[in-house]
Amino acid sequence: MILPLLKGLSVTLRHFLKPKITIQYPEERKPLPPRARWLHKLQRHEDGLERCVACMLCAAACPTGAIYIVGDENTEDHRVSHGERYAAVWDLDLGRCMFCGICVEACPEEVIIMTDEYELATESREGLILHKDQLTAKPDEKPIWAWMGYYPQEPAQPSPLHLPLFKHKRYWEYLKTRGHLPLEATSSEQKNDGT
Amino acid sequence: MGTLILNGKEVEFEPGETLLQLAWRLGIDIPVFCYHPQLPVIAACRMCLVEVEHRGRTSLMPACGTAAQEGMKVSTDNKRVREARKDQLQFLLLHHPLECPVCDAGGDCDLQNITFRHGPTQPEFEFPKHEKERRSAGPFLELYPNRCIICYRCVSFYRQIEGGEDWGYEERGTEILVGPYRDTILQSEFSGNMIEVCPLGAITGRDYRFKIRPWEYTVRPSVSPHDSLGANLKVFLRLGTRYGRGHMVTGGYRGEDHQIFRCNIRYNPEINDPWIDDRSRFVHEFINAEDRVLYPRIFLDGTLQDTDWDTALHALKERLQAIVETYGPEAVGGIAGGIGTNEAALLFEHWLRHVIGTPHLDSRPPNGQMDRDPLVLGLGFSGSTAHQVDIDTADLVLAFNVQIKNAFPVLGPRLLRQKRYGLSFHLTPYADPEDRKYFRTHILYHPCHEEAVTLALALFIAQELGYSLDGASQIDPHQLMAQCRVDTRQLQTLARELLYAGQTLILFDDSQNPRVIQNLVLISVLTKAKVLVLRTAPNGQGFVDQGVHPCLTPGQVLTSFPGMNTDAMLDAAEKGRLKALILWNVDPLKEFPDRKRVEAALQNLDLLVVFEMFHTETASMAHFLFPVATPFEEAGTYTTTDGILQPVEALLHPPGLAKDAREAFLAVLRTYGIEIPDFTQWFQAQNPLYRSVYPPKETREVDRYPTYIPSVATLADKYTYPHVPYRPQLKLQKPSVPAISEEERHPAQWVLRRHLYWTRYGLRSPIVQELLPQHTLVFHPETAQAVGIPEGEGVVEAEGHEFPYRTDPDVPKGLVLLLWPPMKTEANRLYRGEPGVDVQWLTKILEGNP
Ligand code: SF4
Ligand code: SF4
Ligand code: SF4
Ligand code: FES
Repeated sequence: MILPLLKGLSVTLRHFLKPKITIQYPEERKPLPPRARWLHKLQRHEDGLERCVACMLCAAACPTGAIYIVGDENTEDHRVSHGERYAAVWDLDLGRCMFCGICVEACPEEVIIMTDEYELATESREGLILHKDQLTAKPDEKPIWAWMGYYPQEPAQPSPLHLPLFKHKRYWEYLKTRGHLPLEATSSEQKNDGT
Repeated sequence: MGTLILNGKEVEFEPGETLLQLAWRLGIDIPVFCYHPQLPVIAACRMCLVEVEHRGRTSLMPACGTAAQEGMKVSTDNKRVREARKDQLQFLLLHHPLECPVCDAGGDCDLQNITFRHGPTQPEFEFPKHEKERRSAGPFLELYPNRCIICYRCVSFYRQIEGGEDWGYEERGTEILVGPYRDTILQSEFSGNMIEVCPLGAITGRDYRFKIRPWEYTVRPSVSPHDSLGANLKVFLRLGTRYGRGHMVTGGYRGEDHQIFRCNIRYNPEINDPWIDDRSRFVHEFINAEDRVLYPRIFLDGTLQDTDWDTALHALKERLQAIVETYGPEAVGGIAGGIGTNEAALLFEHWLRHVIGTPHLDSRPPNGQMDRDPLVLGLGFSGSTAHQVDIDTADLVLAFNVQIKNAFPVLGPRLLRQKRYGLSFHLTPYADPEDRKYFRTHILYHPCHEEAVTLALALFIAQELGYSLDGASQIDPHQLMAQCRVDTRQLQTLARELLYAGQTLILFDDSQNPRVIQNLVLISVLTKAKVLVLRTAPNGQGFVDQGVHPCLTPGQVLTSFPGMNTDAMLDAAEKGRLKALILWNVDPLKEFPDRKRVEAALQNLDLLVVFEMFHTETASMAHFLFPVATPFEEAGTYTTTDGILQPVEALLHPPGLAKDAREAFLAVLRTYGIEIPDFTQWFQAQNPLYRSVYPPKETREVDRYPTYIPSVATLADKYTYPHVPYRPQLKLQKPSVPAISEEERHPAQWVLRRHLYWTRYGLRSPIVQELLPQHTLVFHPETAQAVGIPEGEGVVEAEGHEFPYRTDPDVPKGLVLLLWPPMKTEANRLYRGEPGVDVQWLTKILEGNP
């Protein structure tokens, strides 16, 4: 009668003494893997102008039709991006988005990256629709050049398409910001300094 | 008929066929850039090279410019041809910027498609590309000479179809530049077609630029709402509208962009061929005009208050019933602007004529007091005996005082084509430089003598035929001609040509004085000419056919209780005989002559009901104001001026509480307890003329992506009027000798000029603002001298208002061109519906310039 009770309690005791695996979530966060695909971020150029040229390829590629863009023309007084056109509206409907990351691949200007920002709940359906001002990086934020398709370690045979990006310094910087830069990579950072 | 060997197979060809046409007919793909089915062969791009073996020689030939010949051996897809295509594309792409993601054509670009199918995978040109600067051409076009592959299609279009002269190429070699010669606004009102004619993105349209991409839009067929010719359009909407991928699951946020991105050509050989005018193409932003009426408003306690339909309609019914009980149904009148669908028009007619019981309703512009429609008197019905296509085959076209470019632009290319081989005359008081290219001969007469000049012509023709016209035997045509200062010899030539030319066609618009129309109909009957009446209202013909006409009921049946026409109704209102007026899409204060009279008439009313899309000046006086949908938001049918019934569908939801006019009038009838369960059946029962063609076929082929190869669309549904045999004995009213007393001989005469964009839609579209005319009045510098105002530009004061004017030595002395309809200018303070200028400052010319 007492024996099974002790047996049960011994399990409790064992787990009580083990190091705990829960974390104090809102205060503490678990680092996410580097390829975590959460909220999109629209990047800027170094000079603070927006990168997006409103080509709408991301919207075309999106399987759920979650991206909605209206293009417009830059003028002398109102310059938003480098070229002629910019996105006047760039809306993302999180109710539709399934975080597949295809838009990131489609973008010819490397505007979109996906961040590890995953706390996306809102109180209303309208709140699920994020607008350009909510998605665009801060004007002084450093651009990050690559995100998808790369492992922290260089794969043995990188695809020729991706090679130029791999060489890029800022890619490694980006990985560092994520705290996932392996040792080998740190050394290769010096090697691949070229732009 | 002959045979040749095409890709190893023996095929037959039609005489005169080119290799390209033959191959396309057989479904064999040959890529082209410069060839366009509606343009002459240019053979500039060399994209269509095929290998031809003929008479012992084998060579690469452009298929578009090589006629099929007996015994040829043609190969469209062997190694040599493929290599040639690849090399040719390599050349075309030498200086071509690869900027498809930011290029407007990206996604529906022939260069992209053809390169994808036939082209090189890598550019081999290693040197910096030649750069040319972006240019603009007027408010509509933006040119990217970098992208141009010099196929000359646009040049060919502009010169051959439009007759324009200010577009072409400069320089040679890599420096070549295609575009307007000067950086001014293009002369042509067909310039927008070049966006579609260009096989790639070298010419882009400002309304559409950058806003959306080809894979985002939905294309729906529609009809131009701007004029009564009914050019066919493809309208580009965004996916996610009611035809798109559907509403977004999360709260329908993408539910609808209330926007039309662009309008392109829909091929219809009966109306617009493959070209549309810039007004039909670019003027579509009026649907988002700031002054749209959004809510029903009723005048309560001294103010206008927004309310809902039910409340407003019930209040309206009570007010109307009170008026009918006190003054009888004849105290109610209805004027429609001829803007709306046939369905709505029929319901409007039903409401007024059958539910309220008044015979007074009209949809034609006010143009004089004549009880009967002169067309009905002469032809037996109110409409045209000709179709637009008849212009193509006419040996002689007589246009009477019409404006082509500014009022009926779609007729332009047709008239130009006709002019190449036929005779064309324009009988007019003022040969507008913009319209000169459309006619061979302009016969001028002194303005305000329309009636005299047409009667003189009719008398000449009668003399020539040996008839004498009832009641006109005393009139000497020569004397008449002297009065209207027309060249007798020219008019006599015209009379003979009209009689002896094969197919003749008379063209005039319905804003003419009814007596003039009567004379023209008389001429047409005497000469067996066909008549093409151009309605000034966009659906003018449809409204007449639906019985919104004082003496015709639906289906053009003569009524035994004719009512008052627009003019008479205004008079009756002024005299207090008409107590209630129902207006629908018409703004008498800004569109009718003689503002004072209109003001007096409207103020005298007990009840003014307005169904309007915009907050017009008249709408602000209304006791009841109901919001109705604009074109593109309403479903139904439009009738062209020559009687072609065309369906339109509601592409967008009307904003606010605005309703499709048809729904609005159905709701009105519902307040009277009238339900129409089967609308189609009801329509057919009401309108015997349309019975066989209503409803018109709904499905028209519209391709997902625009293509320059016109797929011959289903021809428009047509109805024909009951055939009326031509007979020289006429039931017309007696031609009266037009009295031209000294008093009427004013020193100056009004000539009303329309402008392409000076319309209720154009004025509300931002894109055409810089094209709007700045001057209400235009006259000869000497006229200015005579009245003591400076030459050049300025403002004159008249009737307490200022009117900007311009002097122009091209305008004959004694004429004052007046921008019409007044719209923003209040020019109807000056023009009272009489031809003579009796404004004080201008009458001074009398002393200075006898
Ligand atoms: S693909 Fe990139 S550049 Fe193009 S619209 Fe999307 S974010 Fe902008
Ligand atoms: S014209 Fe065609 S090929 Fe050239 S940049 Fe534009 S889309 Fe690309
Ligand atoms: S602008 Fe377009 S249509 Fe004109 S020549 Fe150049 S490529 Fe051809
Ligand atoms: S299509 Fe034949 S040469 Fe251009």
